[in-house]
Amino acid sequence: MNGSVIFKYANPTQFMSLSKAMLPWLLVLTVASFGIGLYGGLWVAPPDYQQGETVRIMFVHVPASWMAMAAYSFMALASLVGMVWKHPLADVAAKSAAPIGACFTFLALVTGSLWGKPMWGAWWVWDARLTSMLVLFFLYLGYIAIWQTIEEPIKAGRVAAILAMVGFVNIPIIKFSVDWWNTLHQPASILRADGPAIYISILWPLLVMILSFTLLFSVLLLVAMRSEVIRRRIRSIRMAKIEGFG
Amino acid sequence: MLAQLFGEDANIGFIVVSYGITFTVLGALCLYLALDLNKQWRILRALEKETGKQRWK
Repeated sequence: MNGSVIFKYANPTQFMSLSKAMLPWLLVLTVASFGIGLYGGLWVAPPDYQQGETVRIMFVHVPASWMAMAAYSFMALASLVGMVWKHPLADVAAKSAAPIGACFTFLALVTGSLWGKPMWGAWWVWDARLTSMLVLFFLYLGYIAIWQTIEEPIKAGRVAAILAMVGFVNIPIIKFSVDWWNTLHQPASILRADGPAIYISILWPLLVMILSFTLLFSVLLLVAMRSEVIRRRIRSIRMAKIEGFG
Repeated sequence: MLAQLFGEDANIGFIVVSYGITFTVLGALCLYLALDLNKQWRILRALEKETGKQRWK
């Protein structure tokens, strides 16, 4: 990776002006995408021949699950960049992604459970896919707890980065759990070697909803990162003020 | 309206609760992050005024 490209946007002031310009456009795109996705998912898509109307839960469950894993992958990558290249915004990005990813994981677990009860007859089973998703939720909580308990940001960033990178091993486990173990959870339906196993009238709203969740993640991440950059500026002004008195 | 959407499906409650929880959680997260950003700006502006530092954009 080219170091100069990484550091080009390392300046928090440049990030603040760039994110300020991007946010309104991203917000409009997110709302429009949700509008199309929800229309397709709730009105256009037909009931599934096996699941009936319950298939509509998939339009929120699948995007939430994908974003839960994508947010964690992003967090692990940002942590790696922060550790290796000491990019000043990498820690900010990783820290900001954690609560958003935790919310998506929570939603994936809850909506999965709400789908499981009418389809499997159980709210929860200790299935490999479900259990590894629960582990992901605990990893997010652990990561957030580290930032909350260690006051010094550089030290907190390092400890949290190690957890994020070590915890990344759980992502392929979640993805391939349905292939490696005999699970109640169905195998992959979209990312398959022989193409998606879903009929187009259900697939397109699902893909639009995945795009909507991705756009929402981008918006929320930028907002959270802006807060964190300002928080750090407040901290540095306060430190300078204390040193000035000393 | 719900019956028009989903017909007489017995699992309509599960669908409504799923969508309800999803958009409540996402809405709450949006609100929390927006309020936090606003709060940080206000603290920064007050601090800049107090210390005589130039306004940061």
